[in-house]
Amino acid sequence: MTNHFIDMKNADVIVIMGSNFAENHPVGFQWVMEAVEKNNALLIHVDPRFTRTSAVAHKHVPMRSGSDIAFLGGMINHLLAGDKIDRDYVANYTNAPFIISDKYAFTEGVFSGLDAEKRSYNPESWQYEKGPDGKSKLDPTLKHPRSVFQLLKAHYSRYDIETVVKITGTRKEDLLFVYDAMASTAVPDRSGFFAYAMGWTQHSNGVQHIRTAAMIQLLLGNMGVPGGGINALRGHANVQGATDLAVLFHDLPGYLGLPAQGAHANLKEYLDKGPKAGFWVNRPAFVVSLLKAWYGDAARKENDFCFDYLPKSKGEHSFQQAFNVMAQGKIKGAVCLGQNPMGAGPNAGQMFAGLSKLDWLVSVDFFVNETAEFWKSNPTGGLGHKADSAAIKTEVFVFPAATVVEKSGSFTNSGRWIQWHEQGSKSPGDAKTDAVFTIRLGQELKKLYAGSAEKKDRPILDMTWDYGEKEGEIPARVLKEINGYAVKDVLKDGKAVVKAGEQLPSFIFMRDDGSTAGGCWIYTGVFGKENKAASRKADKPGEGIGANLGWSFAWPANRRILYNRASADLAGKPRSDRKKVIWWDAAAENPDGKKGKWVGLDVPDFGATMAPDAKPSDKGLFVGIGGMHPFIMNPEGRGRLFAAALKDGPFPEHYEPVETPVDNVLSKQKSSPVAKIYKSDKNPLGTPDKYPYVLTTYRLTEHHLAGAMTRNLPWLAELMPNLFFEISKELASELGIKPGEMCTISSARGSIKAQACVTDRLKPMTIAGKKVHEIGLPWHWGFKGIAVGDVANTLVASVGDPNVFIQESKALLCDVKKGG
Amino acid sequence: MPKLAMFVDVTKCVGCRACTVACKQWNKLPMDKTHFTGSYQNLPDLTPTTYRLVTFKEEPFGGSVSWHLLSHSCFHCNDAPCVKACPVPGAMTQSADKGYVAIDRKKCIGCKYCVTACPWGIPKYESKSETVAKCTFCAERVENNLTTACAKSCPTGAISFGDREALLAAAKKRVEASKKTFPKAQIYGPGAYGGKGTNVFYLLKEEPSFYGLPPEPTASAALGFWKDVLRPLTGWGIGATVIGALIHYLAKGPADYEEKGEGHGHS
Repeated sequence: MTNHFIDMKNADVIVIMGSNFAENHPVGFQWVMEAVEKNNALLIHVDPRFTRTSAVAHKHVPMRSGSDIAFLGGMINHLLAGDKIDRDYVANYTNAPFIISDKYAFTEGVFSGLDAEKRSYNPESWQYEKGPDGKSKLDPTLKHPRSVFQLLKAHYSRYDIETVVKITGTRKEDLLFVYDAMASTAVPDRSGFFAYAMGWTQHSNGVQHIRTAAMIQLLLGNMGVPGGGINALRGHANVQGATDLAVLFHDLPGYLGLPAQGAHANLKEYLDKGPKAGFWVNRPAFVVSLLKAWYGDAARKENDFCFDYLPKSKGEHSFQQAFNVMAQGKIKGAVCLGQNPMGAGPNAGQMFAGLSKLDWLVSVDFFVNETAEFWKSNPTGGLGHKADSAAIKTEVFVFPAATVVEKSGSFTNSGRWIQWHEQGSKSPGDAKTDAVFTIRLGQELKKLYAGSAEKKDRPILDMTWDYGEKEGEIPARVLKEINGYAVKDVLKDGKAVVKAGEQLPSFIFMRDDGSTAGGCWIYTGVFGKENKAASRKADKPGEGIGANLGWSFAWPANRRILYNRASADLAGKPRSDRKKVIWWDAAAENPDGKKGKWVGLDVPDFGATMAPDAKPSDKGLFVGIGGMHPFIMNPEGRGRLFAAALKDGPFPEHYEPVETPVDNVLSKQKSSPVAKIYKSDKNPLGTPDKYPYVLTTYRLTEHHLAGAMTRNLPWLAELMPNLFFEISKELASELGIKPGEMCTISSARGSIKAQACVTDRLKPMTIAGKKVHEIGLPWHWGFKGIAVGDVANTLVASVGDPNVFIQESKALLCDVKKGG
Repeated sequence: MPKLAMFVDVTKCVGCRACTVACKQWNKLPMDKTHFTGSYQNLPDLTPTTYRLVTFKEEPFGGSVSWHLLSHSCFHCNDAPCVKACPVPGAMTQSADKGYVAIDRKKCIGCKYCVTACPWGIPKYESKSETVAKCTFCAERVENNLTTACAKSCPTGAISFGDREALLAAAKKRVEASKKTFPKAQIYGPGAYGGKGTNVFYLLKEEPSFYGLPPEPTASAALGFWKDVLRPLTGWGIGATVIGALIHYLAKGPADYEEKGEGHGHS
């Protein structure tokens, strides 16, 4: 999230899209309710289904799953064509004036640089045009035909309202209602935000969904202000923390990027290929500090601080790819820690095939879940369909895990707040915390490699792994390492600013010479002198903008609203009294005797003493960033309406899902030319002649993810006992399906049984002249627990977004038949 | 007037059912066996082991649909018909200072007179224990200055607990604000029984009848018979058990939950 949960109370317009906020985040939703009650906010829910979120919204706007970019692209066109944008903000704080290379082109739904066979783009032609001085060319009038602004206008002029109606199935008046509602926030006095979740991400172009909304927020001047921003609702309590700490295949903690084989032969190459301007110029200090935290004394300047120990990416190693190659017998073992792929993984048949080929499998969970007993039941045949257990050689080890109330530690919530919690009760039996499990595993590995003289074993032997003997102390010691500490005195202008052994108060003290260590630079400050995650000094209810700077610690540097420099004008004055966050106080005195600093209601997301008229410098912490450039992480200091950073194009473009019942109204390019489609005999794709209905998966309040945590709890099993699917009254009547009746839902991957929830909350839509029906299917069920049912993911294809490889489970094709 | 109350603001309810789970947890109630019958509600009515239930009612609404989510349980009436109906001294009582209505299940003889008397059909007879059960207003919590479990767990502030007068004032404010969106918005409960009212009251979006609630809650006719004819008997010194047995014989109690079986909820 650019903003945070409590900040939602400041919004004037709230668009929940790609999320079922009230059902899946009911606690955070209180701040939406507060905005409605106390700020008179307009609450809109855009979703194929009418859900419990829609039930409390002022307006529910239905749309077809997979048409979000058309919906939002239409909004961009509406804002630009009607001049309903925040023009000053766009001209000053975005890259709208930048001129793009004349090699850039967009024809027939495809951007320049496509290699259709390899299904990838070369982004060379998507760059800024440079002048003879090597600097990017700008046209402040925004009139140059190759300025980002004009290219944006041209690109989205194709998304006229009639076209958008044809793609989304949404009524014209509903589209205009949403567009004008958001347009009302184009003035500095008003703000609105988008809240999204898996409804945006789980598509073959999921990242571009989010980007489209981010671009709208730049056009409306809604970034960096209270009640604005793009607010991701992370599902599990610590998903944000897992991402920050890079429990992912492609990154290092703090978003430093995993080095790649071939591209980064040594530390210098890895660092030199990083950004040359913007705050990322400090990356070398963050990288070296990370290496020092991981490899301690072994990490020295002369050995590249053990850079060679880091794994190097050899391509894509995503979750989906891992199971794909697992099914080919290329992976020997897997540890599933807080993870139940047999229920949660896309294409359950693929999950089953993968797990069946392992030599060993470790499952760490509260319950013996579907993954631990995958060898008993083959999901492709439905509930109770026996697997050929004798043919499966995988040896399974189950470790009982401690629940959250049985351990202390920190959670990072969606709003980037790192919050500490204490242990509430003792674990039963042998159940251990994930931290204890992981640390013991590391200790055992170290023992096994002890005494080895082989070079390849050094990463294990040199790894710092001292978190004490007392289990209760482990979480705090881990957080201290993540925060970082001074290995030697940290010097500034020859003086020691942090003494050796002391915790680092901020990442600005990190150094690239080995004098500091820290596991995740953006978290630095959470555990300086004290554990700020445990800090509980709340603002008075209703006071200010709800920043609550004394409650927990928000990364980075306790900033609550990212890019908050953009809430002030070029001269540093609040753009609006109602939406002010920080402003420049020219008279304020600094410790060094110089005058002027940013002050206000939040920690400035900017150079604290960088004056609004400061010229870009080629030195210091903010290379190339001037005093009026709020987006400090980008070398150009501006928010990007056009970006070469993604794998599937510099502008978001509507493509149909990989499985779709209709053609692409906008171009001949039906689905994304670079969407990832995994080749496997478990992954056939369906066509509308056999599978005529759109299927979208979703979650319910009563169950959590694949359900091990909730379907085993009697009180929750009682509330949602059986797998069901939502079907419109129209389609149910066509197929002769009665409420509660057992039916068979099938896709090209397999079939499952579920009971019908016949409802007015789903309605057929007309897409490009064709009647399209959509089915909703919750995916919490499995064959273990009190409440059992078929695995919904049996139906989902192994298809992924080209940037992050998330599965396309929110829009696929299925058939429904009465009877089961 | 009683001091404590609960206010259920239906406009804020998202139907998450945290309240029903918190209720079961605090009262140590077992799982009711349910099966999907076409609606999220699953359980058709309150049971002797479910004191609080969220009902889901779907209605076509201006080309779209509306989904009415109502978390309900005992109203804890002032001058409660169930208390009046109960033949056993001390089995069903109203807290004089706090206002809640409690059943002492050790004293309850299972005559079901309260079941008949209640205008909302809240108390449920449990054949296994031959007693009646319903929402306790979390008496053990409330008597120890804690909020009720349901109010404590409600994430959106749809259920609030506290001083009755303050909650009534808040409800009046809310009803005015809600009328912009829901023209028929009204407070339900405080006006019952000629103004004696209930200690759990609601801000409804629609008419009470829309939710299946009686617009003018009144005690059943049987209660008159009891009050006027039978109750004076207790004054004559006849034992409660005898009276109970007599009533059991005279009154035709409603079928209990187990006998009725599971019906269909609203879709």
